[in-house]
Amino acid sequence: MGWKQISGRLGLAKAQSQQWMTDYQQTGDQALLANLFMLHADALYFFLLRQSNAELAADISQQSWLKLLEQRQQFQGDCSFKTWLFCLARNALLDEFRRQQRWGFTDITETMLVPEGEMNAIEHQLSQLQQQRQLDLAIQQLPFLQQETLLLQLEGFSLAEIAVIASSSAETVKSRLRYAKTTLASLMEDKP
Amino acid sequence: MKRSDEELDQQLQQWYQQSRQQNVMPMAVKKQLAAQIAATSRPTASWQRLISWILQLVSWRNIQALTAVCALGVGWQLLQQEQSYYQISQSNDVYPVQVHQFTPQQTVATSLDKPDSSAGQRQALFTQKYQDYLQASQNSQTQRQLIVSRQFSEDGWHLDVCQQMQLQLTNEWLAQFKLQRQWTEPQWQQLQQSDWLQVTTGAQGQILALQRSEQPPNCAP
Repeated sequence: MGWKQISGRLGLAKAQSQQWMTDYQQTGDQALLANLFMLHADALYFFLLRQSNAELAADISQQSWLKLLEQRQQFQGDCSFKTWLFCLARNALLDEFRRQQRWGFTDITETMLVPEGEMNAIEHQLSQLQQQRQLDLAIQQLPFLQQETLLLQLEGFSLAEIAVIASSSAETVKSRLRYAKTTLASLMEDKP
Repeated sequence: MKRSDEELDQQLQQWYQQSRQQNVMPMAVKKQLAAQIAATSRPTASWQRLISWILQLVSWRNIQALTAVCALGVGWQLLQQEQSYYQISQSNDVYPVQVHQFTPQQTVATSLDKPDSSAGQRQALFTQKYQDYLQASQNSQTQRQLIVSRQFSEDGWHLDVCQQMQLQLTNEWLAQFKLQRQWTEPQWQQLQQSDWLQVTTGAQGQILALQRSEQPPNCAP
């Protein structure tokens, strides 16, 4: 499937979601909420799964959809429905990390989590794996914010939308993407 | 050899599509969440929205005042709207099945002498039922506690009592129960996650409380 087709479908889905959400706000019709759930549940779950684990991803998904239900009147339509949904989920995930003290809120954005000394070992490990698996493992090595930004871009969000979700500026998002891809390219380099 | 940016982007897209397809939300989680949404998203009456708004405003220190407001809200609903009434119906299949639900009050009120009962009669009915409820809640001798295992279904929860009886709680009943007991969302989610529940029932078998249980049902062999 070509990029034009993909972006065309994404655009249609975006417009449809927006309409469903607006109608749902006005009518409270559960069928509309079910449509939104069917369209976005898997994408949201995958976004959360990549940054946590299956149990937490299911839990945060649950929290996010229920929060959406409770706070549906707060959706103003100034961003896409999907952006708003991912915002809710990200905030819930970070709240959970704070609760677990998993994320110390130090500036981990632009720094590698993996010490230089361990890089060779990781690269050696990577060379043993298939390409997809290599990429999977390499992405896991990225710092949280870089990984998050990359996943959102791959999900089809624009830089401006990622900035909204991650409460950052578009420049910061660009910078995170650049760091993420440089790191990945480095980890994925073929060995002689 | 270094990969070009374009090559890396293509690989990332392939990885993402493949990985996302392999990691969809498990069906069990989807079903549970769908049931939970259905239970939570019933259209609410104006008095329920009012109480919800009040709940957000009132702090813990004012809990007594809040209780009074909620009691007034429940009374107002019964007096003005006559929306629903706690009803338990029982049928016998392989074992007895009790369905707990809220039904329109009119079906219950047919036993009254005058169907077009006045506000005074409604007041008396409400007062009597509310006193019954308070008495049942306070009189520990009439209460019974049992551990049940819970299963989700499209129309609500099924609570199995050692394969000797089943209590079916409709989504509407659950939504009302949650509202009336002022469960917060985290508390409700904790309850949702537990496979086993402790159920407290009153003299007429009405459910007074639901709690998580760490222990499975203790069923005689």
